[in-house]
Amino acid sequence: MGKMVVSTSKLTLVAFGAALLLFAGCKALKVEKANMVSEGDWLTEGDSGERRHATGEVLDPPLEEVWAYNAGAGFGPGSPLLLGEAVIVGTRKGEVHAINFETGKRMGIEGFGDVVEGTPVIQNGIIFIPVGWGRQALYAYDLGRGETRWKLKGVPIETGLLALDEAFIAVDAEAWVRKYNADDGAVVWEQPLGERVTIHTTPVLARNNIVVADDRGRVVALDPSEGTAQWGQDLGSPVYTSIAADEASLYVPTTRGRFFALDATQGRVLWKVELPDTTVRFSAPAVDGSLVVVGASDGSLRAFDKATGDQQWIFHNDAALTATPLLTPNTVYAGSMRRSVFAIDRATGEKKWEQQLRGRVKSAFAARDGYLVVLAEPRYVFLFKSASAADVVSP
Amino acid sequence: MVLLRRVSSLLTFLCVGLLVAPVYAQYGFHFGRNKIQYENFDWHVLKTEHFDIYFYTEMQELAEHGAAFAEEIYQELENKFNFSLNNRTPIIFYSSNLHFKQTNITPGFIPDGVGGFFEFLKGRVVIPANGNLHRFRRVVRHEMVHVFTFNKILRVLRDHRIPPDRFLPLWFTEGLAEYWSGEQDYQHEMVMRDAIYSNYLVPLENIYRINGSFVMYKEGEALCRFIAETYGEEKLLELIDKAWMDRDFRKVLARTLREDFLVISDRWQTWLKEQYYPKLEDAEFPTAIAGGLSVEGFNSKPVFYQFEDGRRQVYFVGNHDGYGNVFYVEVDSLYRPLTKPKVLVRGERGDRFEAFHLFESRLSVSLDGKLAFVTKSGEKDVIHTYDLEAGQLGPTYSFDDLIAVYSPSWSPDGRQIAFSSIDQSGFIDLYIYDTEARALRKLTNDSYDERDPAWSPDGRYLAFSSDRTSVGQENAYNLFTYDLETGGVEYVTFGKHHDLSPRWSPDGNHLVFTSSRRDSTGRYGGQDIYVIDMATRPSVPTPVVAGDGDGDSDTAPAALVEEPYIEEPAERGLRQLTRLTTAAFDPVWTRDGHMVFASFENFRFTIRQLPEVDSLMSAPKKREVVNLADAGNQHWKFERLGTDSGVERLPYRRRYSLDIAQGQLSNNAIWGTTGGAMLAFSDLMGNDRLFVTLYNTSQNSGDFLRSLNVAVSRVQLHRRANIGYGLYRFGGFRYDITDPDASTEFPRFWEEIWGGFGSVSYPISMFRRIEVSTSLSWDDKQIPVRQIDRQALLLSNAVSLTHDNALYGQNGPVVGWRGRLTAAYTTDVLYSNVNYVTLAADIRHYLRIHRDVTFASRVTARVNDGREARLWFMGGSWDLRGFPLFDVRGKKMWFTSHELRFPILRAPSLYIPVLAPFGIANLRGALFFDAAHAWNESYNEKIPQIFAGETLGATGIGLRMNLFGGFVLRYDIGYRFRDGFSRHDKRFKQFFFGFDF
Repeated sequence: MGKMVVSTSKLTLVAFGAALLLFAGCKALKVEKANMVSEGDWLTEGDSGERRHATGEVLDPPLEEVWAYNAGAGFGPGSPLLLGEAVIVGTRKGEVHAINFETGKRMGIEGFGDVVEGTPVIQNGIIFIPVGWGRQALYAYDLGRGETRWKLKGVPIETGLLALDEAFIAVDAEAWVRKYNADDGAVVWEQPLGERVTIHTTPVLARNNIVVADDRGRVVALDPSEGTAQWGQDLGSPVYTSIAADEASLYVPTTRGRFFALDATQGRVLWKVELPDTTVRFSAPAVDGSLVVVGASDGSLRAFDKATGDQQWIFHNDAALTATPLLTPNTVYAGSMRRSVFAIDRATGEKKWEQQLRGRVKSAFAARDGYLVVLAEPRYVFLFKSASAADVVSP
Repeated sequence: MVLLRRVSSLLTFLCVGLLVAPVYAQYGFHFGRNKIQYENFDWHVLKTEHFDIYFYTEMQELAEHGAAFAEEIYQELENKFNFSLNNRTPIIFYSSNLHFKQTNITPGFIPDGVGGFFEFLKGRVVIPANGNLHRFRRVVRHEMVHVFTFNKILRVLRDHRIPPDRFLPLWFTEGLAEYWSGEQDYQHEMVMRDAIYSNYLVPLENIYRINGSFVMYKEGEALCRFIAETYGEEKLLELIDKAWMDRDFRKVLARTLREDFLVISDRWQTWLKEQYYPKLEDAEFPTAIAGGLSVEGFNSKPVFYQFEDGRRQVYFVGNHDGYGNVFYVEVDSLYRPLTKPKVLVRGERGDRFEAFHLFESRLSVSLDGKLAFVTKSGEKDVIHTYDLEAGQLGPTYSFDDLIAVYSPSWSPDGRQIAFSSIDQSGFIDLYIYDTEARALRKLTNDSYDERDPAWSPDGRYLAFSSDRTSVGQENAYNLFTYDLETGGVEYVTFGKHHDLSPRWSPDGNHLVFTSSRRDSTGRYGGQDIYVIDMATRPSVPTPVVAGDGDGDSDTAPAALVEEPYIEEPAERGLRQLTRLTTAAFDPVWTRDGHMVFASFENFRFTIRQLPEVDSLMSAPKKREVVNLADAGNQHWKFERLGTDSGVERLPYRRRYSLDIAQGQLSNNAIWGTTGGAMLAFSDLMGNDRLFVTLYNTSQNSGDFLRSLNVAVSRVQLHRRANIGYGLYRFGGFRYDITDPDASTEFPRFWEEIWGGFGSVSYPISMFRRIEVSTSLSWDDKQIPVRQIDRQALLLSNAVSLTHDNALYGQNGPVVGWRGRLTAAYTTDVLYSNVNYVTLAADIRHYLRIHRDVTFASRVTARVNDGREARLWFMGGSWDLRGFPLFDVRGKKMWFTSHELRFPILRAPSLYIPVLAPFGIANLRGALFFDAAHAWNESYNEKIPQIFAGETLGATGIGLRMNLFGGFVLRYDIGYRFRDGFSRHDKRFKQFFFGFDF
């Protein structure tokens, strides 16, 4: 009897060990065909280096919830990424999750420091992950192989990254802008932006310049090859959310009720919006066609004419709109601090659809093939499907 | 309160097993004052967009203002926090501080100065009004910043999957609440200036040492303003956003502001000095220009009287030893003190003078020597009189519909008293009471804040301070007169100032008052003494001020509205007599040309006299002309959000929600595996509480049901008499040292009890209550080794009377006395197996010899007599020292203890900074003497196992160390004695914890 007990214990141990290995295997962050990029993939925050937060695919309401995924922690303000069959999100617990787009099941998970606040960027199957707190500051992780290529210690990076050819740009918490070689993480150049300033904006590519803005309200354009300053503009209002760009202009939200359009070539102020209430904070904007759309802490979503700054319409709800809106051909999507996702008519600003979620929506969206990915409190990733979307998602 | 403690004791009893039950029963934290629910409020709720506003019918207008204030700040904070609340916040309003003190939402006592609180368990905000809508608005804003901060930090921590067990430092949360609730007020400026000038500003790195103090609030506000102005307003929110990064907020601060923590601290101090040092150039310290009449403790609201025999005395309210009193000090013709301050009326120890409003209500002396002063007495304030010539208390005046009363002022003929008062509506108005006709007359009826009436020597006018000025919406106060012949209200001063506390000069030609004014930077300067000319007569029209324009001024004469201008001077001469570094309060101009006032300096409120008033009048610091024509005749009022605005109004319905869920599981050699859970529910007002306890002590599965302990109880606190009742079933092995049948060495036996209890606690006053309780239970006790299997249907009735007016220091009571008498009878109504009487008396007296030295005495006698009478017990650090904990036992006992308690180190961490993280608040000593005697049947029958039958004693010295202000470690060394102190038994050392008796 005693021997029997021992052998049962051994068997239990072996089974437990095997289960551990099995689960460990499941946890690895791995995406099939990671280096194959499809048309609708979102490989960087806002789907482009210009952070336009727009899609050309029709995504009209009503939307229907397809799945909800528990990511275990909250999310930063950036958008999720889409790569092939995977939705990729970083969390404030320092994990990056890959979720099956079709089923909402976990494909893989990996921990990177204490927090992933800024949106990673994917380049040639490698995901570059900024770490907002922890011993390491940057990871290059091979999604195809499920292994770390390289990692760098340094000052934490709390914003998203900007991909360039075989390189990428990161801004650390001490306001140093650095260009890294994608292959080995070598620093190509670095540029300090000043003492006691902090950068909360993900760098933007505008007219072949890298543009960042700081919490003193200074917007700086750097040459991507050398890192030298091309121009600077002092807006006098701190910038705490990401800026957006198009072919000619930059759209800069601030925290003091002011929203600016700058000439991307020289940084001249083209137009500005000044609200009477100087405590209003603007969200990061979305840009497409002739419109720039921006949410605000006063509960308003405002659409401006890109060229003139004339307000086209305003949508108001009863809670702050801090998440970056998403522009689609007919509809603007906005997430609110009162647990709602709104679909708003792009032409008129009228509400077309609203869905209550489990928590506040503070992060940007991603969209593909008639599907909308939403990040919401307390720790959920939602996939919504429009009536026009195909049932089977084929990357 | 009392019942709460009783239920808590019951729950603790169940959670830790039956072992400690006798400890609580005997040591019973059954003293304490009473929080009395005088009013049975008829609660209603206004459902605004984001809030549920709870109010009672009489104060609906005020609640509608509060609702508007809350919605107003919500919009602002949504932007500042970039965040929205996802749950409706309940806000409970009271119309006065006296009603607020009755709330059951917090179990603690609420002192005068508390403006409101946010309770985060159920997210409730509780705020009283005090007649001042500006202050009410500010408190609403302050508490709403707390609500947003709490929800925001909780979200930040949850986003990062960090347990919500780390808190932002109090200086930051309170500082932010002050900073974001409005601009810095004159009190803020007064304290910060004083802290800088008197050199008690606590640097950022040491701010934890003043945690929770008034100075910490003001320093916190200044720190938040410094951060906003130096690093950017957005950094304040960023500090919350990054609080997850480290438990140590200093590191969060350094990382967010991108600067070394000590550099931040230095820069803040420099920033403050740069603002305040230049103002020192031509300012005077109160101590340098005015002689002190009472400089110890807190002193305020002076008045003066010269007796018929020529003696001069200055009267004031003060707190020198923990209790508020009316003091007096005799002065010579030059107003130099001839004596130390003496107590005229001893307050705050009994029902009659329950509490003084130390900084809110002035005194008044009539020409014939009658002193009028206000205290809380029961559910409201009353006006007391004291005949100074006769040296005895006079009549007391109370008013049915008036709750809070402030600043009485005698008419020149000594027949009428003018005062301001808050009624059930929560608004403050002026009243006159005719003491002979016993008639009360309401002079104003509006939402303005009318304060400090002063009767002119000719009897025609009342001067008062009010925010009814046309610039009152900017929180300005000006002086006015109320013409008692015409009912007209006229400006005396005008401007965006704080003109307060007017008093007439003896000849009626001037008003002396205090005023604080803004400088060119917008900051308030010192609060100085001013004199305005009242002698000049009409030249051009002066604006008249009436009600608030609601048309509901039912007592203000109609002529006010019909005739907007009367003949009064449009200009008045104004003289500034002082230019103080800090503040003067409540100046009084005496008949012989001196000025007595209260001052603030070095964080002390003192009574001072200003010499050479004549020369100050002829050569003042500054002369001005007040142009009253600028005042206009505009009314203002705050917004309201009520049913007129479409807000739903509903009656309050009691709904219960969970307060606490607590579970416990343990395993030990004696009890085996035991476990249980306790749930507590209450309604939103905290008036009705339900407790459910489940506990099991079974040692095997077959024993499960037999060892199941269940108790369900309900406590209702909304009436004056607190009522509790419940049902219980206790079963299992228990360890009970009070059971007379159990083994002396190891009193463990099996017992099963089914029953119910009822209890009523009726507070006679704040200091005294009577308690009655009854229980009926079926009791089956089995002690196999003694072949006892006793069954009984026990009926137990008890009545007790408790008195407690003791004041607590950090380690225990320091002054006052408390006592409790109990009589009880327990009988087995079925078999007469149990039948005994209980009598107990416990008296404790605390004599404060010096500020920090107390002589404490305690005398206790207890008797249980009859069949199966239970044992009392003693021993251990809490009573009879030198003997093992609870080892001295008997059915009857007496005990006495005397201690001299003295300080050793007040704040050791100030001298030895390394001790600071250990939270050592103080180190005190005690010389003690204890004596006791326990016995059963015969006084001298010795039972050595339980030390019965002999007089025992101990004497020695002890050390007491308070940790974190709430936990006291005790270490005693001494000699113990036996056999009536004839035998010097042995030396002992004893370490324990707990407050002094």
